[in-house]
Amino acid sequence: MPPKPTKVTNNIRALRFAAAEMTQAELAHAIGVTRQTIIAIEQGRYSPSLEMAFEIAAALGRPLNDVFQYEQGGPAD
Amino acid sequence: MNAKPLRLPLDDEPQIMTAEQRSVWIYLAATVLATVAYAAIIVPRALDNPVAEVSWVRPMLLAIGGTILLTIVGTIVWSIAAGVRLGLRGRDPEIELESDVRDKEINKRGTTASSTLVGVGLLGVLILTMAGADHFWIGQALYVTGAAGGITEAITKLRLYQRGF
Repeated sequence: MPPKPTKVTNNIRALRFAAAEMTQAELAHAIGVTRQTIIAIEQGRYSPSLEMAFEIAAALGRPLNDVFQYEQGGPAD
Repeated sequence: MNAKPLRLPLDDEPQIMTAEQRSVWIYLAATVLATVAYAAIIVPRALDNPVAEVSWVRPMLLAIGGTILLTIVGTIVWSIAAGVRLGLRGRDPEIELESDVRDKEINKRGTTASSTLVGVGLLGVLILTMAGADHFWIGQALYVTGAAGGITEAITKLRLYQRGF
């Protein structure tokens, strides 16, 4: 059987606070998306592409693993 | 002492829909409205007369044109209102309203969701044509296929916006 689907979680909201209280709008502007997309990612309603994940991590000044976690066997879409 | 706020004030403001999400809502409302109005005109005529004698071309053109017009006007009006609302709050409309990669993904998934339905509908139209059905039925089948496909696509997109993917 194929492996169970996985879900990507993140700490973006907490890390924004740590990054000089960066707002959703500032992060959105930094990576070229809408604030709604940042909200959706923070709430786990949208999994960003790998490229966008790296961009978010870079904007927050953190390594990718600090920002996103990969939960094996987590809830699927 | 300057204690940092627990929450970021700007992030707590109500979320405004992106331009794409807003246009999906408007298109859905316009399509449903036009389809219901069209059905309210055509169904009684079809029940009271032989279908070959039912005048359906003008109502259908009005329904299609009305859908397009309502969508365009609704999008313009709602966009202006959203821009003004953001301006009054001192926010950057570009960050709130522009479309991005998430909108494109949702758009693609919505189109995919409706493609099977539209394909089956068009097959039905083809069969009706081959069977020599009255133009009335061919026209209705085409309209229903288009409306059902559009509504399915719009609902799929709105669910993706709300629930995520």
